[in-house]
Amino acid sequence: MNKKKVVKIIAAALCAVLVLVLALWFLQRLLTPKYIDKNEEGLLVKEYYDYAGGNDVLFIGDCEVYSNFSPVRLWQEYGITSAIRGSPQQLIWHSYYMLEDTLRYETPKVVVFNVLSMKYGEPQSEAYNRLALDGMKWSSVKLRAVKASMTEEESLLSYVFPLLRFHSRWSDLRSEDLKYFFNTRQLSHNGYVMRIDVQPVDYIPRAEPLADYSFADTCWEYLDKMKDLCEKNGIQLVLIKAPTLMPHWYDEWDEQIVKYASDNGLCYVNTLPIAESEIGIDYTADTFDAGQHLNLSGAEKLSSWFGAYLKANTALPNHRGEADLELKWSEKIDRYYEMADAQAAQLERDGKLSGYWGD
Amino acid sequence: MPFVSFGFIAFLAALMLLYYLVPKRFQWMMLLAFSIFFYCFAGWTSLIFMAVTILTTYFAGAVIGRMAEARDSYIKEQGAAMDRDAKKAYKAKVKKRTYLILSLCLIVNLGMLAVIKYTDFGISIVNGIFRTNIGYLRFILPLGISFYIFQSMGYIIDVYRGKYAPEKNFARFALFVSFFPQLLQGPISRFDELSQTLYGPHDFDYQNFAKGAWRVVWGFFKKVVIADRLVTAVITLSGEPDVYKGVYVVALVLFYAIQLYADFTGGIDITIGVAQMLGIKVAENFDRPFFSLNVTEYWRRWHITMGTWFKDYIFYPLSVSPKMLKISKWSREKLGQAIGKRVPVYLSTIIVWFATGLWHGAAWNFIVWGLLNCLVIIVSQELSPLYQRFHKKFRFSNTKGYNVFQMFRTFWLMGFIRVLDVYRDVPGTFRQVGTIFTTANWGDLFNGSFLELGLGWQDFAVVLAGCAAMLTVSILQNKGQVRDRLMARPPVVRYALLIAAVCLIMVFGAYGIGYDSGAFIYTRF
Amino acid sequence: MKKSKKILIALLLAALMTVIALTAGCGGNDDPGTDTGKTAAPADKTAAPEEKDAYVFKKGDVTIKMNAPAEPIISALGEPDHYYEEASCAFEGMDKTYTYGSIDVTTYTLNGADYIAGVVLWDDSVETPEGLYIGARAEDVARIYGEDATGKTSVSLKKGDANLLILLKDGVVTSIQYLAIN
Repeated sequence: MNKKKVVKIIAAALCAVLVLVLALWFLQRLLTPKYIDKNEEGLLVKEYYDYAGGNDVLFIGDCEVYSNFSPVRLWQEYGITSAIRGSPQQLIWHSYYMLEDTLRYETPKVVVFNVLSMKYGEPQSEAYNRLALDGMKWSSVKLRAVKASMTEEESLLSYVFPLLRFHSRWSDLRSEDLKYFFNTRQLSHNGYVMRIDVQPVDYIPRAEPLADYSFADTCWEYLDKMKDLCEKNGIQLVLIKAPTLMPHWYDEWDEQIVKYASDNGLCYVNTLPIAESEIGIDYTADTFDAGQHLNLSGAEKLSSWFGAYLKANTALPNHRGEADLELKWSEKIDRYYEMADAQAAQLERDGKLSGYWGD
Repeated sequence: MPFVSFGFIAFLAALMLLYYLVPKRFQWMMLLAFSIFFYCFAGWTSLIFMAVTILTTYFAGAVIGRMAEARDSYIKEQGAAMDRDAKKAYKAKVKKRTYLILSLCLIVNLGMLAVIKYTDFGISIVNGIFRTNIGYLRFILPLGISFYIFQSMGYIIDVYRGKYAPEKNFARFALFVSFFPQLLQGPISRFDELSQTLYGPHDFDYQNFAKGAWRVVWGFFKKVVIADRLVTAVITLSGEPDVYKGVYVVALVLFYAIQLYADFTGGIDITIGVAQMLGIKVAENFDRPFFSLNVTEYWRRWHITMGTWFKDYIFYPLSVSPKMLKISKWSREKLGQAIGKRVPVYLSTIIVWFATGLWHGAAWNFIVWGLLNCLVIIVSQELSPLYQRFHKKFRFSNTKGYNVFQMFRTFWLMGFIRVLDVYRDVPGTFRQVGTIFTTANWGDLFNGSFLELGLGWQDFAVVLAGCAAMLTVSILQNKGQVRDRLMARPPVVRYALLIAAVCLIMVFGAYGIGYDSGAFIYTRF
Repeated sequence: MKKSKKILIALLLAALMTVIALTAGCGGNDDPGTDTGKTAAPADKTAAPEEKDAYVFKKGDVTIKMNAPAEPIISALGEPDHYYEEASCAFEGMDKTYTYGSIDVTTYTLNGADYIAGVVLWDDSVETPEGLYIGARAEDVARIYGEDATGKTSVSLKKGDANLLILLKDGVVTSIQYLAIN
């Protein structure tokens, strides 16, 4: 083989590899879920990077943070800048790494961690791993997060190349996969997922006694790590249990958190006992699924109350009146009320909500 | 390390790069190192078993070779002084010694295989007959042991027979036994054939390399897109025999035939393709077996290297063994010429098929599978005069249409025997096949019941398209290699096809968690 | 070859096959490992067959078996006193709780259908088919469920795909729960 031919072969092969990579990238983009008309919460983790920076308060946890706290309300009433990093059934190790990831972009003054996920010592489902991790930007933090979270059936490679995980979606492709090939829609308001509809609580199942109420060692380890990381970065860690009635929050669990908080000098507030009396939650009007998540009115009540709690227990500044922030937040507020109006309109029209965007 | 893994692809890439970069005289050493590395994934104990085979076979071969050399030079020197009888006696004496070495080597290796593979089967028989309750030993079968032991035993028997001189270099011999592409599922190579290209030196030959790569891609397609997809339905259908009767048994026969074909030939395509990329020629193991007109032909075209192994190392020696000759003589005297001459042949055939069944696995279903094949072969042989008369009488028997009918018949006949593999229960298999005649559920073909076997209509569509592709390629192969024609196309076309093929495999392959795509949506919480 | 001889051969072979097929029966279905080498054989069929015998709860004539399809059981139990559904976040799973006086029956969703996830007994007006009730003594547990069924605060018994969980306090049964094992 002469030299010219070899060069030609190599050049052709390189071109082919390039085209192949492009083709695979295209397929990956096409087949990865867009989370627009189904499982919309899959957008949350990625959206954070749009509002990262300048947040004094960071909420981390599962649906008990992203459904129940409204950063817009905290801004309006207290001038507190805040963001939420939560995803469905976000486990404590997801939360820990999300905190680490956040520190790559900003250092909040206060981190609020919702403690419900202490009840899960093991991954519950591979699907939730994807929701919590796929949206995270690549860094050594994500690598460690993936390694810590993977179930036995998963592989690291499938996080690097999601095509390996989602290739079989070819049979589920919908028009949204093409429509949102390049762009996406914004779901959250600094991480808050809005629902305005109401499904009152009329009955809560009895909480069956458990054989063992102690939290798993893994959960304690990650809570410790979270606490240490906050300490190291001069962040005040606040623990909270949101006022949602299901899943059950046992007194035996609460006692362990109370003890942990007092042992470590942390603020902990379980909002369940004071939900109605102090916070003003009306479980016949402030929840959209019979007590599992708060709706907009519930979230605003909780945020109003929690803003005051933060003011009383932390040293957060009031940023109202700062021009650049006012501008930034006024845009957020507009979007917030637009979505609320759109949902209200849809509710009026159809009698139920079919999606968060109200269209 | 399984073929279908990214680890294997990375392994191949590293090997190819180093293989063609090192000085050519080191190429085979590189192969040996990579083969050992490959096999390490099967665990250290597996490596020990393979080492035993390599060591015993190598040294037995060397000793036999030396004895033969000594014998030849002795005769050369002393031959003039010896009369014929003395020579004969001397040769017989040496042969006795080499036979002893051969026997020892066979006993060690086949004994090792027998103990690991068949002890529990033996225990199960003893437990069954004597109603005892001896515990199973549950040895873990070292990866590919049936293949490399058979390959090594072929070598030592050939050396004993003087077919070729033993390999002198230990490392080279170790490579012959451990050559990684054929470790998982064969083919069972012959030393005289494989050694011609195994040790190189090999220049990088673009044509050869590209053709090998194409074959690997085609193998992956068959395995990942077709076989691994269909396996879901096969497991469902065979897992609940009480539920899936009648038409489902027919479907299982068909699905398993396709799955096994795609899986086994796909794997062999990867093996031979990888070897070809390295410039090494590995024996073909399949010759489009589903085009066979009868069972005998089928077995000449399916798992070829195993068939020829049994023929060369068991059937022929058995047929001409003194015992068999004695039986032949006896049967001719007592049963008359017609039957008498059949007895030794059929006896050897039955033994070979019994062994073939047993080789496939230590279970009754495999033995019965082997013997049923044997039965079909013998019966069709006995009926061949009848067939010939039929063919003479009816002209149409030479037409294409009739040939297609014969292929169809052979396909289903082999298919029904093969389901013993999947049910793994001999009486159960017969019961299931019986339900085809007693359960009238053919309507299930059209009422959507088949979509509840774990595969959606899209999956069946992919399998169908895959089968169409396999059939097309097989038909095109009538006119020579498809890859030769492909290589004659302009590079743009070739690369476009290659890219499309890789994308097809990546998307339509049945791999990863996502394969059970429903699981992502309907998960338990 | 004479026809009779042909038949003789055929018969002999048939007899051989039959003998083998029959002895195969003696060999049992034990599957001491195979190595066909030729395929990813239809995988693990040797896994322990699901035990048909599992702990079940009976309410009247209705048998509630773990992991059984929920629909026939729930409709046989009739209109519940209370019903609660707990949607999973983001996915289409739905855990449902049906309250019937002294028992709660929970279900889970799999591939669009509901299956029994558990039964919780709440007071001594109901008892297990074996006769255990809330308020019984630890000795009763051991008497009813065998000597191994002892524990200071809890006894967890597994049979088939059901887990029977008995909680105790001060030597008295405080809770009885059936949980599905997946």
